Amino acid sequence: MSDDSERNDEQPVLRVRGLTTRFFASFGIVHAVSDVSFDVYPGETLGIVGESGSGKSVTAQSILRLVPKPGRIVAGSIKLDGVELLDLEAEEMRRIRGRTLSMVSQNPLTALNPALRIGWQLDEAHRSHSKTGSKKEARVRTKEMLTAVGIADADERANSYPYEYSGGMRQRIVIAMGMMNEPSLMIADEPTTALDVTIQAQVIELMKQLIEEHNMALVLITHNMGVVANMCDRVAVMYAGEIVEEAPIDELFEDPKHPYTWALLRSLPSITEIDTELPTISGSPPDMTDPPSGCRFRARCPFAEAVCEEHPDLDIVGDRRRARCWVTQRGDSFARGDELLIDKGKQS
Amino acid sequence: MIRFVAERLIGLVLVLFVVSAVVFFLGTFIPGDAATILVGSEGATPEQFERVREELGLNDPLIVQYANWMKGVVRGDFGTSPITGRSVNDEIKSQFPVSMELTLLATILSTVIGLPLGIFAAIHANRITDFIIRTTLLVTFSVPIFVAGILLLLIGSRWLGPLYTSTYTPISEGIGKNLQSMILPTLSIAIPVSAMTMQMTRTSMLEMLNRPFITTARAKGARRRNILYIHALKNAMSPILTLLGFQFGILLGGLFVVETIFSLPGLGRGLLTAISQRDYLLMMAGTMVIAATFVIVNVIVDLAYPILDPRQRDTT
Repeated sequence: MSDDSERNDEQPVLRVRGLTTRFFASFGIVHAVSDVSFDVYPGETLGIVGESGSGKSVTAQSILRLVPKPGRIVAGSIKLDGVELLDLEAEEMRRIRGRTLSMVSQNPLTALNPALRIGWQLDEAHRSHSKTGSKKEARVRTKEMLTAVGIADADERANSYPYEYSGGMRQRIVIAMGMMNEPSLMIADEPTTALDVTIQAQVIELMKQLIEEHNMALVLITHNMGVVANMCDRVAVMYAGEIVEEAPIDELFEDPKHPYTWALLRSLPSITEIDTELPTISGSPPDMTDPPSGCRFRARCPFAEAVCEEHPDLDIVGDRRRARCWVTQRGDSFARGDELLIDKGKQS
Repeated sequence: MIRFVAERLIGLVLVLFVVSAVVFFLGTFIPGDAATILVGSEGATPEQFERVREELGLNDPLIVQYANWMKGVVRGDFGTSPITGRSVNDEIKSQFPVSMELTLLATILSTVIGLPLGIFAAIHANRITDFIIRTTLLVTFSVPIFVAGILLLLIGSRWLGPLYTSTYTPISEGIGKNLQSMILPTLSIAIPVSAMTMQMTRTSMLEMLNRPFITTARAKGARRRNILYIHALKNAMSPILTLLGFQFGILLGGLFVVETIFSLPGLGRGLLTAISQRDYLLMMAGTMVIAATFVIVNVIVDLAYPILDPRQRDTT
């Protein structure tokens, strides 16, 4: 969202500008995240979608300043409640993590320490930020949170170890851990990917309920469009390390403004057309050690033109909408997309 | 738990039985016997040899000799050495504490050196401090124990003065004096062993520090010392403990070099003498005590795993 947004009366919880994160690997520099900018407003759920390797998880790690080696944030600004996170000392950053900014990670089976009791691990989230570090206070809060995420007999269950819980229960515990100090922003990296479909639905319902109760902002990272439709207010679509489109949820599904989003939505199964073969996006994502100079989706884009050899900016394409595409920026749509595809097929 | 200990004790008895049989029958392959040593190889008549052999029971079939020996062992009596004329039990009782103390001290010292250095090296992995620690310890590890031992002995007797005495004093006669005689032998074993402990600690810590639960801990704002010393170290301890258990056994069985250099009256030197004198009774008793200690130490290690890793609690 650009600075002259119509919501500029309200201060964003999170303002990311020009975030660029690279991995300095032995085989080359991986341009994982390039010039990513977005805002998240209080109580809002922003979805970040994209395929594997599109840079969405690294974006999450960058915001928490937990990018694994050999990765490094090389440029940009990340402001949480107006505080520049990239300028903070390690200890100052630690005090923010888990208190005003928390994270729910991808795999609940590996996210918890196998050697420590659940209660201890939850207590730690509280004690790391309380002035006294009191165990008693922490345990009271731990039981509250275990109950809040639907774990009965919190007293007894706090003494269990992670291996004594199912995957869905462990994800509830990880969520409880993220909620311990009622953060103003939570970042959830594929919180349901490792779970069964029925458990997924339960965890999503739980998260929706908790967000509503605490008016917490959420950045939800996922490749699951169903989860996005169910939970998000706004969506940012990432491709090859860049945000290519940003839109309110309904408008994105109705009228995508970037050909990648358009192709992504066409490849979703539909209930009404059971027998039709699903269209796929031809080609594969670019090599991120040497990203293409122009539009990064150009090689796979059915609408590509000569102008696409120049790199497009993420520009306004409508009310609260941005897209990184020359075609929609000049006002054209993909309504004729299927015809165009057929034409292209004839030409080649 | 009780069942586990019971199983392991039965295992211990089996191990001891096998060890005793192997040592006994292998021992008979060594050329010469106690009679050769007792009577001497020069100037003795075949009749004299025969008489001594008959007295010692060396003319009985091997299986009978073994069974006779076993009868005593079951009652806790390892017999009387034909060479020294002393009770084997007494010999072991005087030798075992020396070796046990040396092994314990060396294990403790090498852990005290190796564990913190390993943690430090893991935290600073691939930086200059890590490199310095690893190369230094690798160098000490490459020096054979007998070279390090002799060097330390020279340094000790030349420069350390009152800090080192070359005559062994039992703990019962004063811990200070005892440590004076133990400190250099302990050092010469502990330094190379600490290299092993350091390397294992570093590897194990590094592996744990890359686990997702560390990211979770950092994401909730856990303090650095909690992340290192609780989250990572608690998980990293299992393989380190296994190594310590094995080290203990290997040290106890390999003390003869150090005990010989520093003239300590321990099991290792005792065994070496017993072998050269064909003193089978002493040899077998020494071997069995070492084997039993090895098994018992590893049972203790096994019992410690569930404390570190709760997932193992149901299986034990």
